[in-house]
Amino acid sequence: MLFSSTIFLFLFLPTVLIVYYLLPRSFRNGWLLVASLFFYAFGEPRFALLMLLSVGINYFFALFVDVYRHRIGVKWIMFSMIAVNLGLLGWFKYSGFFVQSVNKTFHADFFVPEIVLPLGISFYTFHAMSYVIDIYKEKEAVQKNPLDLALYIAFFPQLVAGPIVRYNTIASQIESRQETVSDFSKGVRRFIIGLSKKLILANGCGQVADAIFDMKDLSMGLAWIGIIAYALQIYFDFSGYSDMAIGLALMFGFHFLENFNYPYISKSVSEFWRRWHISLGSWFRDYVYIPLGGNRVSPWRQYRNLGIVWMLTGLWHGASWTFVAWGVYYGIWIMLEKAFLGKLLARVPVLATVWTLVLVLVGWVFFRSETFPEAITYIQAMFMPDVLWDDRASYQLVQNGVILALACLAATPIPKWIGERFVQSSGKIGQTLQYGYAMVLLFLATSALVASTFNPFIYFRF
Amino acid sequence: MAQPIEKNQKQPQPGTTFEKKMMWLTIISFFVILLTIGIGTILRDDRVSSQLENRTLAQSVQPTMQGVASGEDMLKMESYFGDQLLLRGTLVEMQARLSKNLFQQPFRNGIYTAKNGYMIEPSQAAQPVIPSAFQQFTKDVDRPVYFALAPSKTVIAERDGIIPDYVASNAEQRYKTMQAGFMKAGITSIPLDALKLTDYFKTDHHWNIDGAYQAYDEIIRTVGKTEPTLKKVAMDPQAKRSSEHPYFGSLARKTTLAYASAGDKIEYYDANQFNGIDVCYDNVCGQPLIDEQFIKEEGDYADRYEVFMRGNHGILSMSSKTKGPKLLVLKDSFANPVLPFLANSANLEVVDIRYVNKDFDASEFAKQKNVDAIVFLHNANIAGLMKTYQQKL
Repeated sequence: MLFSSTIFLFLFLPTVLIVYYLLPRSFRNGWLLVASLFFYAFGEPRFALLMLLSVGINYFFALFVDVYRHRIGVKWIMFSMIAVNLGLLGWFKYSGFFVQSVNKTFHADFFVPEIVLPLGISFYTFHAMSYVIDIYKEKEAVQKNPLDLALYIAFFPQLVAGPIVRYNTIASQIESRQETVSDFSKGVRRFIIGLSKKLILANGCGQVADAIFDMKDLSMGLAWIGIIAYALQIYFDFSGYSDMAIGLALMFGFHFLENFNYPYISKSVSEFWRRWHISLGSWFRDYVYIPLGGNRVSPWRQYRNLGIVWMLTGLWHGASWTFVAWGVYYGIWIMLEKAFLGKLLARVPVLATVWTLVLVLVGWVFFRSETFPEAITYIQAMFMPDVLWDDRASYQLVQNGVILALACLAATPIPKWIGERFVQSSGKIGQTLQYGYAMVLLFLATSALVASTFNPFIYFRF
Repeated sequence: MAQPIEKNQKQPQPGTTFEKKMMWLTIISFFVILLTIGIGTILRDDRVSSQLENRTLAQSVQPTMQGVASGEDMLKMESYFGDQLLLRGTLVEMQARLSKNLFQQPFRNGIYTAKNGYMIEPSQAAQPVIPSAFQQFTKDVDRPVYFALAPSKTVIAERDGIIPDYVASNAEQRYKTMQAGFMKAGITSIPLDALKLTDYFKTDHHWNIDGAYQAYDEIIRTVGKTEPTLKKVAMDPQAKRSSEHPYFGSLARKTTLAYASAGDKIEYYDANQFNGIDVCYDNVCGQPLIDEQFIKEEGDYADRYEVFMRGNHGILSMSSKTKGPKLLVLKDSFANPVLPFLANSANLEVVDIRYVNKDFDASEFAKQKNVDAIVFLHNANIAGLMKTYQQKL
């Protein structure tokens, strides 16, 4: 089930909320777990068993780690835990890609398994691993109640598309939390903002990007419109989903950490990654980069560590060499910034912002393209075009110029800044608007949701 | 898009009674909206079809173990709930208004609304290839074969320069290719090039009654050269009727009323202008030639074009006791307002190739019915039908 579906919005969510608040406190976690499993099983019931298997395995790994933490064998337990988790993720997400790559490299003909990717497996695997690692590092006490652990891993707001909530962030909230009117109303507004980002801006920009990426012989103008539209689509899609997750969690009294912070205003690639999918960046930093030695090793080993982290970051996003290239691309720029570029960029902040934005846009070409030749052709159209502008670019600008402009504006902190000033200066009117605009957005987002299923037939006999 | 104000940022007196009221109002409004739509959707009677979308709507699902286990029943349930959603039409219209008024989008679902209110669907496609079956058909039937190929509204809009320069559309080029292809197949062309934009509905892809009458005139003129008994029958201008309700056609349905600024007026001639014509289809004769229930039907998107013989039928006959010839008309919905005029001048066997059995053979049918001539009557937008014709001619 998706947050941006009518059945979630008008049936699942109100039912879960009403029952949650009617139940005594001691039953609430149980209810959230039942609701989360139903949410996950809706549409893909067989994979719910896989997720429960992951919960069970990691529950026992954590218990063993806790019991044997002072013995030498604990390293083997941790090794087994990582192997099992990555094995599950690898089988479902990467086995086809791996065999294809072997076949291509060695001209072999091994059978390529066609495995359906279980929804959210990358997210819940990382949740589960972070739990056991946090127990190993004694950041949190082991969770003795398997149902509470299941709730941490399966909690529906963050189950399908993150953010990657670390166990130590919400361990205490699972045990005890205080739901408040203030949190609930903030959660409602945050959820509606996320829904609007996804349904109005991301989907609107996505139509432009999809149309242009399907075209051939792009002019320079069209290529730039396409990649800007895609950059906006992916930002509003992902940050919208994170907003919805954060908002939903707040409605149940949980506080998640922020996952995005206006990444497109960054002045360096390093800064971009501190603002984009923050939970993933910090996961790789804490569970891969630092254990490899982080910054405390020789410069060459630092660069090696960065290379490993960014290759894995790329691979995490998808089983394709274009994703790996995308990760390595960022790794290289971050290494260059670490070596000398960062200091240069710091001297020219405006130019640095434009420079970073262009680098990020080029990166999105690799992310969006299915093959390398496709990506190279697209980048050629952006920088070495045969034609500067054509009618198709004019059409996209006339048809979608306003929504793209609004999306560009919304990707900056300017609307928030104006909103805050307005609320501060206009008293009750400002407060009324602050709460009221969410309801207008809810109607607009719902209308966009329904319109996305609008399916008129010209010729049809009833 | 603005992010919510965080706790640690300055806010006007957080926790005041007024702010608490606003918080409660937000929560209550949220629940009221979700529950009203959710419960309203469950409680109200299921609708079978949508006038706006012109399609049947998904119906409730009886879950089975297998369906639930595979996830199929859940998907069906999602589709059912979405289709039956309370205020569905209103929300679709609302989104269209947002696109038009806020996002300033001149196109919606591929349709352009010109300043004069005409809705046009620009189209860029490969040049059509006329199937060899047409040439074979003209040989097999051994009777005169004609093709009345109406320019689509897009063709005329291209000629009139209504479509913006930046939009690629080659409908006229494809129309000419198609005309040349039919002539090469030995089919005589009935010229309909003189049709103007005003001969078409603004919000529908069909021609109006004036366009249809003009087509009838041209058919009589051209076919009459080989069939001298085919005579034009003039209509009484006083017998022209029009609907009280506005008509919003297929293009308005695709864009919604947000883009269709004003509805069309659908006109037709009183049934007394067609006395003595017996219409038979679905094995029943005496069917109405003009059915005014579609004119009187409530609803913005009622398909009033079905006033003519209640829409499309696979095989239909219209016998008029006239001394005129017997014609086989192979057609699409463009022909529907023309057929009553034509039935005043000739006996008709009418076939809509889209709705006949898969083993239907048009040349056998023509011989079996012993027709004097065959008239294809279509609009230029028939590339999708070519495969069907290849199989059925």
